[in-house]
Amino acid sequence: MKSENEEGQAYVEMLIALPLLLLLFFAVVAFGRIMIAGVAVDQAAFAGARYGAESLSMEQAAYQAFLASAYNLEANGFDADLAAWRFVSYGRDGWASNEVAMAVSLGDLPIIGPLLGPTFVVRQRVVFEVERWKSRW
Amino acid sequence: MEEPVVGLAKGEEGQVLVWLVVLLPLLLLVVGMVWEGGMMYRTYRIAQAAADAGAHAAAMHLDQGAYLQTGRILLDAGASEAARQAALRNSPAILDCGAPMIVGNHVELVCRAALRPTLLPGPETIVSVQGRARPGWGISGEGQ
Repeated sequence: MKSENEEGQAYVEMLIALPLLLLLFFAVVAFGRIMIAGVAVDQAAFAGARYGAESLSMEQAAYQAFLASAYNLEANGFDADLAAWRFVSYGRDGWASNEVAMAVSLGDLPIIGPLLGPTFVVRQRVVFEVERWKSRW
Repeated sequence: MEEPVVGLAKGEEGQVLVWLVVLLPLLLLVVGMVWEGGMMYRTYRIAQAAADAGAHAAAMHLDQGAYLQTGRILLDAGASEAARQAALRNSPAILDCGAPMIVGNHVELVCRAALRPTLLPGPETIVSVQGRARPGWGISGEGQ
Protein backbone atom coordinates (compact mmCIF):
# COMPACT_ATOMS: atom_id res chain seq x y z
CA MET A 1 0.00 0.00 0.00
CA LYS A 2 1.13 3.52 -0.81
CA SER A 3 1.20 6.12 1.86
CA GLU A 4 -0.48 9.50 1.34
CA ASN A 5 2.95 11.14 1.09
CA GLU A 6 3.98 9.00 -1.86
CA GLU A 7 0.80 9.76 -3.78
CA GLY A 8 1.37 13.47 -3.35
CA GLN A 9 4.95 13.14 -4.53
CA ALA A 10 3.95 12.38 -8.12
CA TYR A 11 1.68 15.42 -8.24
CA VAL A 12 4.41 17.69 -6.94
CA GLU A 13 6.83 16.35 -9.52
CA MET A 14 4.26 16.83 -12.26
CA LEU A 15 3.63 20.39 -11.08
CA ILE A 16 7.33 21.14 -11.56
CA ALA A 17 7.73 19.37 -14.90
CA LEU A 18 4.49 20.40 -16.58
CA PRO A 19 5.14 24.17 -16.90
CA LEU A 20 8.51 23.44 -18.47
CA LEU A 21 7.01 21.03 -20.98
CA LEU A 22 4.14 23.44 -21.73
CA LEU A 23 6.65 26.25 -22.23
CA LEU A 24 8.51 24.12 -24.76
CA PHE A 25 5.29 23.12 -26.48
CA PHE A 26 4.00 26.67 -26.89
CA ALA A 27 7.46 27.89 -27.88
CA VAL A 28 7.44 25.39 -30.75
CA VAL A 29 3.96 26.58 -31.79
CA ALA A 30 5.12 30.22 -31.69
CA PHE A 31 8.25 29.33 -33.68
CA GLY A 32 6.11 27.61 -36.32
CA ARG A 33 3.85 30.64 -36.69
CA ILE A 34 6.85 32.98 -37.02
CA MET A 35 8.53 30.75 -39.61
CA ILE A 36 5.39 30.43 -41.76
CA ALA A 37 4.90 34.21 -41.65
CA GLY A 38 8.62 34.66 -42.40
CA VAL A 39 8.41 32.59 -45.59
CA ALA A 40 5.30 34.51 -46.70
CA VAL A 41 6.90 37.89 -45.98
CA ASP A 42 10.10 36.88 -47.83
CA GLN A 43 8.10 35.87 -50.87
CA ALA A 44 5.96 39.00 -50.75
CA ALA A 45 8.97 41.32 -50.45
CA PHE A 46 10.73 39.54 -53.33
CA ALA A 47 7.70 39.57 -55.64
CA GLY A 48 6.98 43.21 -54.81
CA ALA A 49 10.55 44.29 -55.52
CA ARG A 50 10.60 42.38 -58.78
CA TYR A 51 7.26 43.70 -60.07
CA GLY A 52 8.19 47.20 -58.97
CA ALA A 53 11.52 47.00 -60.77
CA GLU A 54 9.82 45.73 -63.91
CA SER A 55 7.18 48.44 -64.14
CA LEU A 56 7.24 51.17 -66.75
CA SER A 57 7.29 54.21 -64.51
CA MET A 58 8.08 55.17 -60.95
CA GLU A 59 4.41 55.93 -60.24
CA GLN A 60 3.34 52.49 -61.42
CA ALA A 61 6.20 50.81 -59.58
CA ALA A 62 4.95 51.51 -56.08
CA TYR A 63 1.45 50.31 -56.92
CA GLN A 64 2.67 47.16 -58.66
CA ALA A 65 5.01 46.40 -55.78
CA PHE A 66 2.12 46.75 -53.34
CA LEU A 67 -0.18 44.53 -55.44
CA ALA A 68 2.45 41.81 -55.83
CA SER A 69 3.27 41.88 -52.10
CA ALA A 70 -0.40 41.77 -51.10
CA TYR A 71 -1.19 38.99 -53.57
CA ASN A 72 1.65 36.84 -52.21
CA LEU A 73 0.58 37.36 -48.61
CA GLU A 74 -3.04 36.49 -49.45
CA ALA A 75 -1.92 33.42 -51.41
CA ASN A 76 -0.12 32.23 -48.28
CA GLY A 77 -3.25 32.67 -46.17
CA PHE A 78 -2.43 35.98 -44.50
CA ASP A 79 -4.51 39.14 -44.39
CA ALA A 80 -2.60 41.65 -46.49
CA ASP A 81 -4.48 44.52 -44.82
CA LEU A 82 -2.57 43.76 -41.61
CA ALA A 83 0.83 44.03 -43.26
CA ALA A 84 2.91 47.16 -43.62
CA TRP A 85 4.83 47.73 -46.81
CA ARG A 86 7.18 50.33 -48.12
CA PHE A 87 8.48 50.65 -51.64
CA VAL A 88 11.39 52.94 -52.36
CA SER A 89 12.86 53.52 -55.77
CA TYR A 90 16.28 55.01 -56.01
CA GLY A 91 15.52 56.56 -59.36
CA ARG A 92 18.70 57.20 -61.27
CA ASP A 93 20.61 54.73 -59.11
CA GLY A 94 18.61 52.08 -60.86
CA TRP A 95 17.63 50.23 -57.72
CA ALA A 96 14.21 49.51 -56.27
CA SER A 97 13.72 48.45 -52.67
CA ASN A 98 10.63 46.81 -51.24
CA GLU A 99 10.06 46.14 -47.56
CA VAL A 100 7.19 44.12 -46.11
CA ALA A 101 6.50 43.80 -42.39
CA MET A 102 3.81 41.75 -40.72
CA ALA A 103 2.90 41.24 -37.08
CA VAL A 104 2.44 37.62 -35.99
CA SER A 105 -0.08 37.23 -33.19
CA LEU A 106 1.20 35.33 -30.15
CA GLY A 107 -1.16 36.80 -27.54
CA ASP A 108 -3.46 33.77 -27.56
CA LEU A 109 -0.66 31.37 -26.60
CA PRO A 110 -0.41 30.76 -22.85
CA ILE A 111 3.00 31.12 -21.16
CA ILE A 112 4.86 32.14 -24.32
CA GLY A 113 2.45 35.00 -25.12
CA PRO A 114 3.19 36.94 -21.93
CA LEU A 115 6.90 36.18 -22.36
CA LEU A 116 7.35 37.33 -25.95
CA GLY A 117 4.57 39.91 -26.06
CA PRO A 118 1.25 39.86 -27.94
CA THR A 119 2.85 40.21 -31.37
CA PHE A 120 6.14 39.47 -33.09
CA VAL A 121 7.02 41.51 -36.17
CA VAL A 122 8.54 39.70 -39.15
CA ARG A 123 10.06 41.91 -41.84
CA GLN A 124 12.06 41.50 -45.00
CA ARG A 125 13.53 43.95 -47.52
CA VAL A 126 14.53 43.04 -51.06
CA VAL A 127 16.38 45.26 -53.53
CA PHE A 128 16.19 44.76 -57.27
CA GLU A 129 17.89 46.44 -60.19
CA VAL A 130 15.34 48.38 -62.22
CA GLU A 131 14.59 47.08 -65.69
CA ARG A 132 16.24 49.87 -67.56
CA TRP A 133 15.35 48.36 -70.93
CA LYS A 134 11.74 49.25 -70.39
CA SER A 135 11.47 51.95 -67.82
CA ARG A 136 12.03 55.65 -68.26
CA TRP A 137 12.89 56.35 -64.61
CA MET B 1 -5.11 -10.86 -0.72
CA GLU B 2 -2.52 -8.18 -1.19
CA GLU B 3 -3.28 -5.40 -3.70
CA PRO B 4 -0.81 -5.03 -6.62
CA VAL B 5 1.29 -1.94 -6.26
CA VAL B 6 0.74 0.38 -9.20
CA GLY B 7 2.11 3.62 -7.78
CA LEU B 8 5.55 4.50 -6.62
CA ALA B 9 7.39 1.87 -4.64
CA LYS B 10 9.43 2.79 -1.63
CA GLY B 11 12.64 4.54 -2.60
CA GLU B 12 11.24 5.65 -5.96
CA GLU B 13 10.27 9.10 -4.79
CA GLY B 14 11.86 11.77 -6.94
CA GLN B 15 12.19 9.50 -9.96
CA VAL B 16 10.29 11.94 -12.20
CA LEU B 17 12.62 14.77 -11.19
CA VAL B 18 15.68 12.63 -11.86
CA TRP B 19 14.34 11.72 -15.29
CA LEU B 20 13.53 15.36 -15.95
CA VAL B 21 17.06 16.41 -15.10
CA VAL B 22 18.43 13.72 -17.40
CA LEU B 23 16.00 14.31 -20.25
CA LEU B 24 15.69 18.09 -20.14
CA PRO B 25 19.09 18.79 -21.73
CA LEU B 26 18.23 16.24 -24.41
CA LEU B 27 14.86 17.90 -24.96
CA LEU B 28 16.48 21.34 -25.13
CA LEU B 29 19.01 19.98 -27.62
CA VAL B 30 16.20 18.71 -29.85
CA VAL B 31 14.38 22.07 -29.59
CA GLY B 32 17.66 23.85 -30.36
CA MET B 33 18.19 21.69 -33.43
CA VAL B 34 14.65 22.45 -34.63
CA TRP B 35 15.41 26.16 -34.17
CA GLU B 36 18.72 25.94 -36.04
CA GLY B 37 17.15 23.95 -38.85
CA GLY B 38 14.40 26.51 -39.23
CA MET B 39 16.75 29.49 -39.15
CA MET B 40 19.15 27.87 -41.62
CA TYR B 41 16.27 27.07 -43.96
CA ARG B 42 15.13 30.69 -43.87
CA THR B 43 18.69 31.91 -44.50
CA TYR B 44 18.91 29.49 -47.42
CA ARG B 45 15.63 30.76 -48.88
CA ILE B 46 16.77 34.37 -48.60
CA ALA B 47 20.14 33.50 -50.18
CA GLN B 48 18.27 31.78 -53.01
CA ALA B 49 16.14 34.90 -53.56
CA ALA B 50 19.32 37.02 -53.44
CA ALA B 51 20.88 34.88 -56.17
CA ASP B 52 17.71 35.35 -58.24
CA ALA B 53 17.95 39.12 -57.72
CA GLY B 54 21.62 38.92 -58.76
CA ALA B 55 20.73 37.04 -61.94
CA HIS B 56 18.02 39.62 -62.61
CA ALA B 57 20.51 42.45 -62.18
CA ALA B 58 22.89 40.74 -64.61
CA ALA B 59 20.04 40.35 -67.08
CA MET B 60 19.77 44.16 -67.09
CA HIS B 61 23.30 44.28 -68.47
CA LEU B 62 22.90 42.85 -71.94
CA ASP B 63 25.47 44.16 -74.37
CA GLN B 64 23.37 46.17 -76.83
CA GLY B 65 26.34 47.13 -78.99
CA ALA B 66 27.41 43.51 -79.46
CA TYR B 67 23.84 42.52 -80.26
CA LEU B 68 23.47 45.20 -82.92
CA GLN B 69 26.81 44.34 -84.50
CA THR B 70 26.89 40.57 -84.31
CA GLY B 71 23.36 39.53 -83.40
CA ARG B 72 24.76 37.57 -80.46
CA ILE B 73 23.34 38.08 -76.99
CA LEU B 74 26.11 38.71 -74.49
CA LEU B 75 26.41 40.27 -71.07
CA ASP B 76 28.31 43.53 -70.86
CA ALA B 77 31.34 44.27 -68.66
CA GLY B 78 29.23 45.56 -65.76
CA ALA B 79 27.07 42.44 -65.44
CA SER B 80 29.25 40.54 -62.96
CA GLU B 81 29.58 43.48 -60.58
CA ALA B 82 25.86 44.30 -60.76
CA ALA B 83 24.97 40.68 -60.06
CA ARG B 84 27.37 40.50 -57.14
CA GLN B 85 26.06 43.74 -55.65
CA ALA B 86 22.44 42.66 -55.95
CA ALA B 87 23.14 39.30 -54.29
CA LEU B 88 25.19 40.83 -51.46
CA ARG B 89 22.62 43.57 -50.80
CA ASN B 90 19.83 41.04 -50.46
CA SER B 91 21.45 38.51 -48.16
CA PRO B 92 24.24 38.84 -45.60
CA ALA B 93 24.80 35.09 -45.96
CA ILE B 94 26.13 35.41 -49.52
CA LEU B 95 29.93 35.05 -49.62
CA ASP B 96 30.69 35.44 -53.30
CA CYS B 97 29.21 34.79 -56.71
CA GLY B 98 30.52 33.36 -59.95
CA ALA B 99 30.19 35.10 -63.28
CA PRO B 100 26.60 35.32 -64.53
CA MET B 101 26.01 33.28 -67.67
CA ILE B 102 23.35 33.18 -70.35
CA VAL B 103 21.80 29.73 -70.49
CA GLY B 104 18.98 29.41 -73.00
CA ASN B 105 16.89 32.52 -72.60
CA HIS B 106 17.77 32.90 -68.93
CA VAL B 107 20.64 34.38 -67.02
CA GLU B 108 22.03 32.07 -64.36
CA LEU B 109 24.12 33.04 -61.38
CA VAL B 110 25.71 30.68 -58.87
CA CYS B 111 26.63 32.05 -55.44
CA ARG B 112 28.09 30.55 -52.30
CA ALA B 113 26.26 31.19 -49.05
CA ALA B 114 27.28 30.46 -45.46
CA LEU B 115 24.67 28.98 -43.12
CA ARG B 116 25.79 29.65 -39.56
CA PRO B 117 24.20 28.19 -36.45
CA THR B 118 22.88 30.92 -34.15
CA LEU B 119 22.37 29.13 -30.81
CA LEU B 120 24.15 25.80 -30.79
CA PRO B 121 27.89 25.54 -31.31
CA GLY B 122 28.78 24.07 -34.67
CA PRO B 123 30.59 24.70 -37.92
CA GLU B 124 29.11 26.86 -40.64
CA THR B 125 27.86 25.12 -43.73
CA ILE B 126 28.73 26.50 -47.14
CA VAL B 127 26.01 25.90 -49.71
CA SER B 128 25.72 26.79 -53.34
CA VAL B 129 22.60 28.62 -54.51
CA GLN B 130 21.65 29.06 -58.14
CA GLY B 131 19.65 32.07 -59.24
CA ARG B 132 17.80 32.35 -62.54
CA ALA B 133 16.18 35.33 -64.15
CA ARG B 134 14.92 36.49 -67.48
CA PRO B 135 14.82 40.14 -68.44
CA GLY B 136 11.35 41.54 -69.06
CA TRP B 137 11.79 41.79 -72.80
CA GLY B 138 13.28 38.30 -72.96
CA ILE B 139 16.68 37.33 -74.32
CA SER B 140 14.84 35.53 -77.12
CA GLY B 141 13.21 38.85 -77.91
CA GLU B 142 9.58 37.79 -77.46
CA GLY B 143 8.73 40.89 -75.46
CA GLN B 144 10.02 43.34 -78.03
